[in-house]
Amino acid sequence: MTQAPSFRDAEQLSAYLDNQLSPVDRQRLEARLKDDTELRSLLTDLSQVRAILRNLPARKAPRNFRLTPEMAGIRPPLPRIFPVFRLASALAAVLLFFAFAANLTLPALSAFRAAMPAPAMQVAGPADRSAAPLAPSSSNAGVEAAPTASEAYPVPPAAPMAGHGIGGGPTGSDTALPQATAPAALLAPQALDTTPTPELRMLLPEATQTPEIPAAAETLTEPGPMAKSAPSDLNQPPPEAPQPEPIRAPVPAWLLFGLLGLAVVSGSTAYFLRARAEQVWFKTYALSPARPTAWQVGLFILVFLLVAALVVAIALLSSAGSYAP
Amino acid sequence: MDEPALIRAAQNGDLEAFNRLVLAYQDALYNTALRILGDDSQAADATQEAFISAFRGLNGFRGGSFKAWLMRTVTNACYDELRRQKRRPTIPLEPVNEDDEELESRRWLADSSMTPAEKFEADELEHAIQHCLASLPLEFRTVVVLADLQGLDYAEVASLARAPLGTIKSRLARARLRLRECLQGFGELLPAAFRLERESP
Repeated sequence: MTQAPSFRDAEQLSAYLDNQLSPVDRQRLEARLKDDTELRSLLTDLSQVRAILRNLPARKAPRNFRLTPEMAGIRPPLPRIFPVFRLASALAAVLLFFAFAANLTLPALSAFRAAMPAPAMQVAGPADRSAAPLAPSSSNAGVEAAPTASEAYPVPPAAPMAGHGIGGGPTGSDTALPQATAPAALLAPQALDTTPTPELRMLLPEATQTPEIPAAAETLTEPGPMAKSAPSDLNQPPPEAPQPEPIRAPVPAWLLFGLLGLAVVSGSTAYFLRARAEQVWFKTYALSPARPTAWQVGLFILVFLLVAALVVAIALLSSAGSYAP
Repeated sequence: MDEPALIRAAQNGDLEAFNRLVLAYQDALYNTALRILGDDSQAADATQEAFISAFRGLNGFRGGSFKAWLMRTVTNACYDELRRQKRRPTIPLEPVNEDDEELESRRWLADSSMTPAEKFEADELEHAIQHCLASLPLEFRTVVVLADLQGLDYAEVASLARAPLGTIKSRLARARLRLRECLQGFGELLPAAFRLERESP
């Protein structure tokens, strides 16, 4: 009996060729093969295909596929102490950065704050005006004249005095009021000779004829020596503002040098430990050590320049000793 | 070569031990990749990738056939390569004539132990086989390469292809039937090929 083999037959024959049939299936198939020529022909074809594939000459690998440490993602084993130096270097560098930044910024910030009250005194003029209505009613005329006079005669001595002594706060304006207004009112006629406005003519005599203004101011605010001496200083040039105290850097220079030294020494030690470990590694695997790349050389030069610049900067700042505003 | 000892050493990070295993298996892995991918340079890349991922995943090897385990890594590398090709199709730079046929085969120069006539015959037959293999669906091709070219048994192929044993039997039978049909198209080459020693079951 010859019948066209089915795919199931081909599957059985294929498994038969590979000895993957159970003994029962094998016997049954062998019995069929004796009678079925189509089945035998298919077995021959499949056997030939299998033989062709199995006898296909193997090609030699075109190159060596050995793995290098880089391919395998292996790094040279570093000494146990390596992380200590690396961490010390990093910490010292970070601390140095903050200490240096503090030395640069804090004194400058303090100096800026110290310089702030001087311009604040210019704002104290309007404050005087706003404080004027609060003066006692007995000195109404003088107080009303004060703003006009102080606008006509800026009072330079008051600025440094208030700037350093009091600070321009609300109490400062109270004490400054008699200094600024009363002398200005006293001097006003001299200045107003050329352009006497009707309003001023009405006000100025009152201001000059009211001697109780300084007294009232004295009783109200108990002015200090500055206020008392102010009228006598008015015709003199304003005293020079005293130079503010130099502000010292918060971190001493020896600490900065110490941190810089620690960062450089521990960083260099870590670098040389790694380099030595890599040399041993390259010898073990018969590899040629990698030559430093351009960016590595550039980075090295940059670090060197940075360290040199830091040394110079710290030395200069420490020789100055302080930061003047 | 004490393979288990080398595997243990490699699992402990000994690259030299692993490289000795590489030398032992690189031809088998390269040939597998070549038959699956059909391209020399892609096969070389896949082989290298397979060894790299094998070293990194060596602790996942739990015994059994090391060759079968390596075959799995190279098969996976081939699948990755084919996926890459799908995403970025490339045009081969092999010289061709006006009829779009390859002018000079690099395989011609591969083995220096053959006479020019033998080289020609082998080259042509290899071409024919590679052509027929390439015409198979990927899962059939993989099974026939692993079972017939690398000689793995059904259980190993099933484990490697993550498919049941029955599926592997079926795929292998279909692959052999299709190859038979394809190779019959190269009639002038087949007589020499069919003179090969017949294997009896």
